[in-house]
Amino acid sequence: MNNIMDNFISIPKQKEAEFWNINKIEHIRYLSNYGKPFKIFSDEDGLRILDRIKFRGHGDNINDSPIADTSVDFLGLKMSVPIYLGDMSFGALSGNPNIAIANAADISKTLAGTGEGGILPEIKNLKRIFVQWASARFGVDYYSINSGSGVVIKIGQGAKPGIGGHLPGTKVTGKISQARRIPENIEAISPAPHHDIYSIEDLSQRIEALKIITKKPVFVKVAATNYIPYIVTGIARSGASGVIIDGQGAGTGATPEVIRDNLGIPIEMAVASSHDILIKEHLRNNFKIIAAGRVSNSTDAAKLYALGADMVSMGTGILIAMGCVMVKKCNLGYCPTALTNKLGTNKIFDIEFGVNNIVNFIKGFRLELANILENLNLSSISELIGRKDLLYSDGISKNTSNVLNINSVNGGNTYYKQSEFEYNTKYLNELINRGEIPITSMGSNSPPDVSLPSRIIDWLRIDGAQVTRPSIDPYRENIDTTFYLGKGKIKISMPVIFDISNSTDEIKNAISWASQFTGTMVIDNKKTEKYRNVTLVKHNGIYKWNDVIYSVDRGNNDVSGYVIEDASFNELYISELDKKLKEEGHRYERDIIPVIEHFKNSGDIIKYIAIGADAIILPSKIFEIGLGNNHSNLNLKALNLLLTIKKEIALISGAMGVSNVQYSLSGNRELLRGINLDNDIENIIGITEAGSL
Amino acid sequence: MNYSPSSCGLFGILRKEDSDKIKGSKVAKSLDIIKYRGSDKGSGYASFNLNHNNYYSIKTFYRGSEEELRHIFTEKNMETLDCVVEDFGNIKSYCFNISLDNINHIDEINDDLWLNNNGRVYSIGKSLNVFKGVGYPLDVAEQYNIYDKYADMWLAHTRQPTNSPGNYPYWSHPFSSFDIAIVHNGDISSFGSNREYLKSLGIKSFVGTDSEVIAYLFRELLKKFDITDTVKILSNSIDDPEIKYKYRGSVLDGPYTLIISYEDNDDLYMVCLTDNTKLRPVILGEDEHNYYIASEENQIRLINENANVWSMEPGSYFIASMKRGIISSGRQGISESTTYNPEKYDIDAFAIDYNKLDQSILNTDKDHVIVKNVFGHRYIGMEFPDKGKKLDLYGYCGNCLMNLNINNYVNVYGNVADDCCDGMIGGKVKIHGNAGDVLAQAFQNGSIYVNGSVGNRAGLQMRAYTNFKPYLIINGGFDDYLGEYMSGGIIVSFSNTDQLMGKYIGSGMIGGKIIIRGKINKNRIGIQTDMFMNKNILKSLYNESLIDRKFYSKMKDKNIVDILENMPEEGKIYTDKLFNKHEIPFYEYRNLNKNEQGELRDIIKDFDIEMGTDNMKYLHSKFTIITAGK
Repeated sequence: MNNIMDNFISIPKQKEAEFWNINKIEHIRYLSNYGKPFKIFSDEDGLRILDRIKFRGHGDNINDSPIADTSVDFLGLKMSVPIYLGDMSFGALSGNPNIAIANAADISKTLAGTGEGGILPEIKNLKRIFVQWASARFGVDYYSINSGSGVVIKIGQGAKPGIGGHLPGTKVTGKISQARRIPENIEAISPAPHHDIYSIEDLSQRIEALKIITKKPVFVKVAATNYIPYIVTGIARSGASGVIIDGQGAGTGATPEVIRDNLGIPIEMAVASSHDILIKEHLRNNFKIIAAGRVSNSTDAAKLYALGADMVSMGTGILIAMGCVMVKKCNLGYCPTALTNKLGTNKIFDIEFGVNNIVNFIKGFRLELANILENLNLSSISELIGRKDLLYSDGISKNTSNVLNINSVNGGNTYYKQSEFEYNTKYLNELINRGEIPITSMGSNSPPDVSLPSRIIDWLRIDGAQVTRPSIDPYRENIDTTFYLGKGKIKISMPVIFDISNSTDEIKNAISWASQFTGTMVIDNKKTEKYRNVTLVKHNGIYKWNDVIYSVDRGNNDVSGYVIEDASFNELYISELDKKLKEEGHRYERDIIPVIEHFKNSGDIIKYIAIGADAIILPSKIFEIGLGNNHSNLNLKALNLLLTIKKEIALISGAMGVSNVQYSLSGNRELLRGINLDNDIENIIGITEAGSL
Repeated sequence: MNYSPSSCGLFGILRKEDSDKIKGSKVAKSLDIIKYRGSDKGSGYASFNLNHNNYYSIKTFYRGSEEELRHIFTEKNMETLDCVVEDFGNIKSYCFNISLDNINHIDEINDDLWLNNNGRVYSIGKSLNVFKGVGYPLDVAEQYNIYDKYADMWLAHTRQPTNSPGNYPYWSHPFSSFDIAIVHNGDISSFGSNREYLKSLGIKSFVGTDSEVIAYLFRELLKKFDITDTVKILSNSIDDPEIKYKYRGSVLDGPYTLIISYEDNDDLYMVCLTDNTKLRPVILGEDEHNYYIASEENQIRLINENANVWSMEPGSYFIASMKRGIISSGRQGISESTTYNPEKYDIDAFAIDYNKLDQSILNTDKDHVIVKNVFGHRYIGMEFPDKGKKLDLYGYCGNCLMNLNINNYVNVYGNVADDCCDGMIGGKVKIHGNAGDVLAQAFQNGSIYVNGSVGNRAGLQMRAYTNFKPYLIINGGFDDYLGEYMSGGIIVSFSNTDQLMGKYIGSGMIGGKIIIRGKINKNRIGIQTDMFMNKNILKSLYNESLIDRKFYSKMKDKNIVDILENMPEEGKIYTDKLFNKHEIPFYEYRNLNKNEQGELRDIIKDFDIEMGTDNMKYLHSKFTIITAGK
């Protein structure tokens, strides 16, 4: 018997810091139930930069029938409020929610993006949709591409910059196969890049081609990454009508956890700086910016408009309006609210419930926005767009407020806002027991935006390749993670070496064996016959393998490099040593190999390499933490850990558009960005602020 | 501002020793014809003329006066001889001659000039002269009167910056240093690492493009290595581990096509290299008089419509010198290009804009349209995917031919560029020459025939569903990643010479069939672990007695496909962890079975009739058959 989902279910308890916390969910539920304004200027004490941006002197009145005008003309389409219901595909969602969203956009006079899943027959005559042209060309032909009001070329998304999509074969049922124009029961893979778009000039070509074939506005959706201001100007010059910028932490049906938690920059930084550069380059008129990623309420939206967005996009917010309770199991297909479950399961989402909720939600959202406008003494939303003068920031770094280009108070040091380091036991456990890259869904709760940072690298984000170079799919293309060390005498398949000296013999054996299998090395107090070729022996601060010698003593010039013992703020030391050796002219004959006790995930490795390390040493304790009490199959588990770390290094590199990790990444601070990190620390390491030119 | 990614169009031409010098007007026109790849934000040229001068020409963009600049040079003990000044409004270009012995401090002068944002030395050479500015190719050609200049070798570049920091010519290409000039298309992901390396060598200031960094890297490497090793280090194809290690800061990563020109030992060299996957376009060419490197074939055809042209093989490089000829051709097994001409035609496309040919075709109101002089036109057929037309296209078709085609029937007499037949769901496209990269992406139904060879990623994510099924038949060879992500349909290649076959065949394949005549080496399929990894795997399995010594010795030099096929169960538990699923497709070497023969017989017959080939005779011979991994 079918179980119709036509009501909200109760929200499970949240054990950890969550971006979509109970308050945010309940706010959305109120709007969805009543279609009335609930709360404005809801500046919660969040860690996002957007939470620390506030409106100057405003009233706090809220009434049910404000008269300020929220409507806009969007490329000839009259919109009741500049909201875009963002790009959730049929396949990621279970069908009925897609129908509900498209109909709600029609009724509420907004706009919906189809995502890359093609168009369901039920919505093909609706006009308030943007049809997506994505790397896999799902559902694309001459007729479907012409059926909406515009086309979106999807380059990337905030939850997984540089990563392609994957729908398991079990989800590709008859209806999905028809909508996507792909074979049934075979998994649907979206390549990481568009293989016809490896540069801005290629993108211009595809924009021109789609304009020829549709005569409709063409938008480009990109994840917010290091070069976002340049990418946005490139898109504007290419003849697109606008850009959808998707910030870090945005929702998704499935993403590798390590990508979601390390790549991309916040939407507020990206919008503020893109808006400015477009004005400077005389490209802002007639070009639209749609801001996506963690738009959780009307106040967020109002701030983003003021920072320069013409429209905001909401995905997760819309799902919550339809009953999502953030259990984050979309990728598994067992959604308790029937929003993202597999087709053919017995839970069915009620379309009418969805339509009513979204229409109410948008109405309430619009009325809140109108209230905000009135409290700011503005009569229409067009008076708010790009009004940075109405904003100020409270308690963020100077570099950050420079990128935002708004006034700031209480700026200064931010690094003291740290928490104690905790291992991510669940992640390590998954690596060790499953030997697969952990996949998760929905937005991130990682530092520095949702939980507190505990290390300097928690303030650093990694670049994702968007447009200027293609991302690389590590499962289908070659990514070389090999590192040469010790004047070329040591070759390891990845820049990770385990120190096993503090472990029991059974752990030592397992990691040594797995290291040999994987093609890397271990460090121990003495070498065993079996693993003598892969063991660096450490003794009194000297690490030795054949005639390659590392020392912990920086004064020792007669060595192949230095092992840097673990210490907090080691990032500063590593980076300075890298620079110093370069100045002295010895850098390219000596290695810097730090010990990293506080290892959270494979993103750490990439960050350490980029700030100057040549490889990192991990204590075998990390293996033990992930193992827990179950010490069976140790060889297999150690192999799982090593191979998965290697796969994750390749995955991140590919997402960055890097095909050779050592050559591209060593000391390449350009591939990192700082998020509101203390400016002195940024300067010492040589890190550029997210969103800067 | 410390980084300015851009995308671009390129051109390079080098005369042969006994040929005449090349007139600048030809170069400017061959750049102008692809100006849609660039913008009005920057163009530039470099000329080389071999000579025996005993001085360098140093050209500097500078905001201040001639006296001030002379003073800066004098302070570094460089005596500036005569001076030529060109005025570009917001900045002037000064050209001094400086005697050969006094040239050591140019980098320092550049550091000082750049620190104060006052200017930049942008051309240094005995034989080299750089002319660059802000504007379209012809604007800049006019500024410098390129048309009437003659040279032994030219480079040219039009630039589309993703950011243009003011209207200054610093960021225009070519970039140069001591008789080396470089133009570049791409985005170097290793840029930050390369810059760090150069800083360690004492080079302090950078205008902020990856192209300039490449010019410096090339200069520094060429001090220590010959040209072949220099190119190999830059493009990551050197084998020596000590060199790999020591020069790790000078390897380029990310998509790029580079043309490097330089003078050495009384000879001129023109070099082209690309990233190992060849992600940016490049076409090489040769005729009786010249060698060519271009972004598009039409640039070469504009100078000589009968020139022989070929595409670069991924992972290869091109080196030619005026006196030594071709040192490395950039591809093995180059075949002669054929040019075709129709007896009758409806449209002469030569003067039609690159994106306007469809309208001319529609204007004829005919069902069968013959077009001659197709000259790099793009998007052909996209305005009428379902009009059921028959087209005969003579010449060189540009990017995006017949994308989303539904029911048109097209003959191409000549080569086609990249992204042909993307998303095609019906009809037929017959290419009598070669096809570029990414042919038949997401091709779902109908047939595509290629008489020549195809570039990278042909048949990328081809698919079949319901009663739709696509056929891609290739008479010649193919470059890398044939049938990548393929999930349905059939690709046939009749090439039987190993050198015409790319690597990574069927990588990520989840359905469909790739059929290649003859036996191909297993190391060409999918994404495999390298020999270093394989040996370590075997050693560790042997260490734990999961395989015996005999197996170890037998397999230690084999590829992973063979190793896995023979792996005992005890070892499989571990080797299963190496791959996800789709890295390596399934390999067979056998005759076609009855069903396959039946399915392909009519298609191959038809192919032979259309192309004048005789492939039917192979129907009963042996093929390598690649299907989805198991």
